[in-house]
This record gives sequence, structure tokens and C-alpha cells, in this order.
Amino acid sequence: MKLFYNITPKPDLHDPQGEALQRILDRIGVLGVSRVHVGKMVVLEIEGDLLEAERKERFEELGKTFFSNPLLEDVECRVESEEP
Amino acid sequence: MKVGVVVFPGSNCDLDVVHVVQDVLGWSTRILWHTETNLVGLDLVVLPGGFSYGDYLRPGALASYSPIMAAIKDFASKGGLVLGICNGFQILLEAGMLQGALMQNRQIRFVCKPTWVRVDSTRSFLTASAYKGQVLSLPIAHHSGSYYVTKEALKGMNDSGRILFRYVSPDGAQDDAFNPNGSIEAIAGVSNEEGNVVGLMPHPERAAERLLGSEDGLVLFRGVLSWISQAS
Repeated sequence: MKLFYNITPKPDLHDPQGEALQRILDRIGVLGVSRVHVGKMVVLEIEGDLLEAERKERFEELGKTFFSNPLLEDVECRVESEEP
Repeated sequence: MKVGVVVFPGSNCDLDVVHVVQDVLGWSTRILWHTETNLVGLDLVVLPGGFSYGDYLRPGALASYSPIMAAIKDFASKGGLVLGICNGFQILLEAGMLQGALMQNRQIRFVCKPTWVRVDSTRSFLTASAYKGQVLSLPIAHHSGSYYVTKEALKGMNDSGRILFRYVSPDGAQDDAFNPNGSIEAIAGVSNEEGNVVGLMPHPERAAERLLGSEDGLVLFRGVLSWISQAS
């Protein structure tokens, strides 16, 4: 089982990396991009499942308390099971 | 005076601090590896600059979970003095010992140059020997030094004198042209409510000898003596 943490800068904060990328996109002729946000992704490969609520909460909490800084970033946690 | 200097994997300003504390100020030092937890007998613990854990995840994030950090929190809660310089400031913020966060510089580039900072509060051990409005020449060297805090929190910090330093022009005026990284209100350093935990981006240890162009950093280190003599 995999857990994906998608971490992005808060939209109302200055994102110098996103702005730099946007300038380059303009330069190379990519049109219609109104804003670029640069974040990061953390992937955990975990053993077992997340059926137990306490374990699930612990992993979700990790996204807010460790993988992101709540003052600067938003985080989304997504689970991907190996079994369909 | 006994000063502990913490070394995390990736610290690189630790020996600069040791040199100033020991050779310039004549105080004794103890180098503390980040897994140590015994801080007995120390007056001041310094978290030096550098790139702890290679700035992985966020600057200071991984180091804030080092075993020594729990001991430092306990030390500070009993009135012990804690100073975070540059990466050390980032670690104190990530550890929740100071309020706010540091973002990438607004121009993205690493900035290494002399700056002028104005002392805006003397309610901390680091500014106890300075006077309000004093302008100091201190160098910076960082990539993520743009200080940010919410407006509500900022008001509380201003009201209680926790904003210690702001980047200013050489004559002490606040001017965006002299804000090197886009920090909110040009903030360069802050303290906790009690004034015994301080973090700042500029490097006072690199401005402690005439040979290196500025001795202004000594005003700050000497604040430790004033603070301790006031307390006793």
C-alpha cells in the first residue's frame, strides 16, 4: 500500500519558484497559464492496511505535523492500494 | 560563562561560534553532538548555522526531531538561554520554540552580503546590552530567510516586544530596498515571550572582530552577561 502526500504552498503566499517557472513558460511560448504552484510529494510504502482508524489518523496527522509546515503549506493525503 | 554549541549533521558555522565565544569573549564552550541530552552546567546553548540534514524536507525540519531538541526545550523552560543563528533559527521555528516560519527568499537566490539591522526590542538576552534603535552591521548568508507569520500573531509579537531585529538602511530607516529576502515587516530576528529563546538570520559570530569588518556582533553576545546579571 502506498500513501501519497501532496504538499503545496498556500495559495495566498508568495511562491517565488512558481513565479520563476511561470516566467519561463511565458518565454517558451506556453500560453494560458495563470499561475504555477511548486510543491513536493512524499510517498510512503507501508505494510498492512489503514483499516484501523487510529493508524489511519496517525498517518494523516503526519502530513500536517511533519511533512508540511501548516503555516506555509497545504497537504493532501491519498492512499493507493496495490489490490484493485 | 559556559556555552554549548550544538552540531547537527550538516552544521557548518559551529566552529565560528566556538572561536568567538572562546577566543574573542574568553568564555568556555562545550561542543554538543545532536544526539546528546545532557545540558547540565550550561548558561547558553547555541544552534549554529549550516545545512542540517541537507535542508531535506524543509530547512530545520529534520533537525528539530534530534534527541538534543527535547533537552533544549526543557533547558529553555527552566530559563536557560537558547540562541539559533540562521539554520539554528530555522530549527527553533520548526521545533515550535519560536513563532513563525522562514520561506525561500523572494528572489529565490542565495544571498550572502552585509546587512544593517535595527534593534527594535531589548527584551531578550541577545539585545540586553543594545539600545532600542541601535543599528548593527551583520552579514547574512541564506536561501530561506524570508520570515513569515500571520497578521494576528504578528500583532501580539509586536505588542510584547518579541520582534528584536529588522533589516534597515545604514541610517536605520525601514526601506524595502534594504530588505534582503522579503521578510514580513523586514523582520530579521525574534524572541519568545520570556526573552530567553532567540532566533535570527544574520550571523553575529561573523561580525565579532575588527579584522572581519564589524564588531557589532559582540554587542549581542555581551547581552548574555547583562541578562544573567539582571536575573541574579
